Amino acid sequence: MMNNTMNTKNKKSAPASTDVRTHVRHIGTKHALIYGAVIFILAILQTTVFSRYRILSSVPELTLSAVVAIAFFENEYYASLFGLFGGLVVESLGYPGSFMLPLIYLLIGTGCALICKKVLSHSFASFGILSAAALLVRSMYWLAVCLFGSKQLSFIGVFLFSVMPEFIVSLALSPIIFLIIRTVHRILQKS
Amino acid sequence: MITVGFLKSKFFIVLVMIAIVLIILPTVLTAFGAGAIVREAIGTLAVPFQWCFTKACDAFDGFRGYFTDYNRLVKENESLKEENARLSESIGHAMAEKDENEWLKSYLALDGTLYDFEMKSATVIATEATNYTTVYTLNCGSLSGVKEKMPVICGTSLVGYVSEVGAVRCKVTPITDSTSSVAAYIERTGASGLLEGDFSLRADGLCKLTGIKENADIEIGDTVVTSGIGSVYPAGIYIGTVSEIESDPYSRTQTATVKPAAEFDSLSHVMIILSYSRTDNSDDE
Repeated sequence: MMNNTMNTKNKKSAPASTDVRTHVRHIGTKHALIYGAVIFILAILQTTVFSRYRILSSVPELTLSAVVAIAFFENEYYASLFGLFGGLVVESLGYPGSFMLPLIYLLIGTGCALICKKVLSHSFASFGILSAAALLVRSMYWLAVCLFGSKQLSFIGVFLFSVMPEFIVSLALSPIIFLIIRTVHRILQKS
Repeated sequence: MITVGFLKSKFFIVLVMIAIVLIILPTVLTAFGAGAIVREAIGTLAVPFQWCFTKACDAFDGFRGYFTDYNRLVKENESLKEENARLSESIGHAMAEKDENEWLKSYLALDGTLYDFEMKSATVIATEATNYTTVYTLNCGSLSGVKEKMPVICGTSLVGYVSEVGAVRCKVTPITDSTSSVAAYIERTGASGLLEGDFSLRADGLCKLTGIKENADIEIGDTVVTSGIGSVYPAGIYIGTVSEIESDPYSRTQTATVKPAAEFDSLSHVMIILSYSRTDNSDDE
């Protein structure tokens, strides 16, 4: 675990003043395509398979867990890029009209990567904490959208019927996403 | 400090700018009558994948059902045979009544209220029933003549309306969604109200009919149909039946819980009403 922690702390980061192209070099094309495909497939799974076979009457949020896992295994460049992409994909497929998701996922991804790098150790427990925090932010966002955007919704109703079940189910499935992203990460590292 | 450095880097700023553009652009484009380009591209790209996953789910359901539902299917088959025999008899009576009805109608010069529908059949390729909204994606889009706010039915029952249109796909918001509202009335008594999706009832596939007058005659089991008020739904489309009634002494109105006839859990094929006109008057809606 110590080695892992050290590796994480030593990950490269470009200085602030460098050009955008310099930053883009931190993201490999192959890595980007494969992570992009994984997020895309997870978003489709989420909006097709899991919306039919619900768990606790709820659809798990897989894409956000994937963004957190990418932030955990890769650097902040990947986290921010795939946060933006993940938010855009999941919003395009499942949440029409909620245009804020790309920005929120981008900020969550970036935040997770920076916290993982600076504060938390590189362990599975850290991933659990980050996932819970990320899902909590998402829940708060949806709670606000539902209460301010829709008519006559009760806080208790939205919280009990949607926010809580989604949070629990998504958190319960996040270890599976963690394993998927870890496998992809290891394969990419070997190649 | 590296952390602050990244947040100030051009890379991060550019990504945030893109995210902000993605928030503003669809709003501006929608105001000008155009769709959200990026989202539309992603949605179109996802159509074949969604179709594949949906078909895989259908196959899995079919495979599972073959083993688990055999006895149920045998019983269902027997009851359907009996029902078929009864219906055959009823058709004979209905044909005779139809002839009589047409004769009476022409004789009395009654104004017909039936509509001629131009319809397009569509398949549900994805059920994006998230925890906050429910949207069905169909395999028809603007290339098939589909436009926003077209009504969608399944059999003779109302499903919802087209809420978003792409080139080869469209999204349908069902009547159970909390963003949906339909002018409707009780067929038996004519008591009218507004059928709305309710957040807490959505999970059970129910919706509510609000704003019914306090003294209106309404009973459990009453049929609810569209009233045709508004520009989306034609009048007389079957919605469902009343399953519960509540009175509000403060607003002096009644609210009925309605169980829609459309089976949203197993929705696979629907019809989009492209246009409709009255049979006799030919008034385009």
